Amino acid sequence: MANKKIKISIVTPEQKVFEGEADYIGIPSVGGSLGILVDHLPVICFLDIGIVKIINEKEVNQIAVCRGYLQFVRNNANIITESAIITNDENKAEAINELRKKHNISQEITEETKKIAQATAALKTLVKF
Amino acid sequence: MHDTKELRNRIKSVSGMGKIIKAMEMVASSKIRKAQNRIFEARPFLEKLEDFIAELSNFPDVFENSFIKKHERFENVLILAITADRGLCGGYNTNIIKLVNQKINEYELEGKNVKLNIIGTKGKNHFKYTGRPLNKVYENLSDYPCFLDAREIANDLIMEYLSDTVDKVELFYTEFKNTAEQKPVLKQVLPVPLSILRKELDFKNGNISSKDETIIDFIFEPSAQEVLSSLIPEYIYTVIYDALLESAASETGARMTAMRSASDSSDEMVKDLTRKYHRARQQQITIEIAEIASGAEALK
Repeated sequence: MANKKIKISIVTPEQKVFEGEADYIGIPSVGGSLGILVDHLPVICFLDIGIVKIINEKEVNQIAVCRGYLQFVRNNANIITESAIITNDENKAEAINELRKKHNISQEITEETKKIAQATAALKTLVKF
Repeated sequence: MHDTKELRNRIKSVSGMGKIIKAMEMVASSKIRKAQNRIFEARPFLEKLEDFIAELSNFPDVFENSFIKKHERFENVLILAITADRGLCGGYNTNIIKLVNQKINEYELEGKNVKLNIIGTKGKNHFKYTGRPLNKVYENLSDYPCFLDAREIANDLIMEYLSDTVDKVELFYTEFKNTAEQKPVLKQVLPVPLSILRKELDFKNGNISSKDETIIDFIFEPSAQEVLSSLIPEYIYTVIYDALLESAASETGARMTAMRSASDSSDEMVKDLTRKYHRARQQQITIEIAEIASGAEALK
């Protein structure tokens, strides 16, 4: 057990933020916090804004991420996210605020977007005639 | 016979121009390394994203997703073309505009409506000049495109597609091969082409045997449907971002090549003019000597 590790990588479109091994990863999933240990079942999850906590032996890394995805399979964890900031205990709130500001969250595309878009288009054509 | 003074002025102005061109070439060649690095850094993200989507294509209702499903009618096309903000980059802008025009003509012959979104001042000016109405124009981002810019542009496309005002979205950009070679290409953005899903599907149908993995049962958080419908916009953002980076690198590459040949020809011109100048000067001296000699002869 001692030698089994999770291989983790965090990439954003602009760079590779983190690559390394871990015993435990804490994930801010949209459905709530998710902890992953070695030999976890394969999982794909959608991340909220929050802190990814990576613990390797005694070393703790904290990375603030904004919207992204985790794919965990065969002890390989791939996280892709729009932006990420390496942070620590003291200024993690700041990092999250920064991300929130940078990504205008109101612009999100969701299930509702389609309906809204269609309604606006219909209104526009009505106004024209 | 050339006037020596006129020649001297020309040499001065040409070599001055040569210096500016050389400086531009140097700027472009220092920028290109940075632009290339950005492409390489963006690549793993796109690859991982494609893997994710391929993973999700095991689900039967994938093809019902509103980004993947084709509209029933096909009448309106939205074209997004990436051009540069500035000129002096050889055939870069002309090539992409030529391709766009060709495609627009094709669509219009088929009786389809074409909407045009343009990135870059040069493209905007061209289509304004030819009198084609533009749907949306984005400027000042060809130098250093950010992911958030790409997101904004992509969101506009997605909105148009989801609201059923367009039935197909195509992206025109310049693919960066190396500093000397750039190729204008066209890529379908929406509906999302099935080729990115096909990888996994082929394997499922037994067409690909090299992949020895079995299909993995993933746990989805929150649900496969929701993950997919947020993953696909993400993919579109990334495709646009990638195209912006490629175009930025191509622009710099094209500029570098153009400036190199310009600086070569300015060197050539200076050499030529200097030769002419020397000849003219020599001729003048010869004439003067001949005059003095003949004057002295006459005095005898």
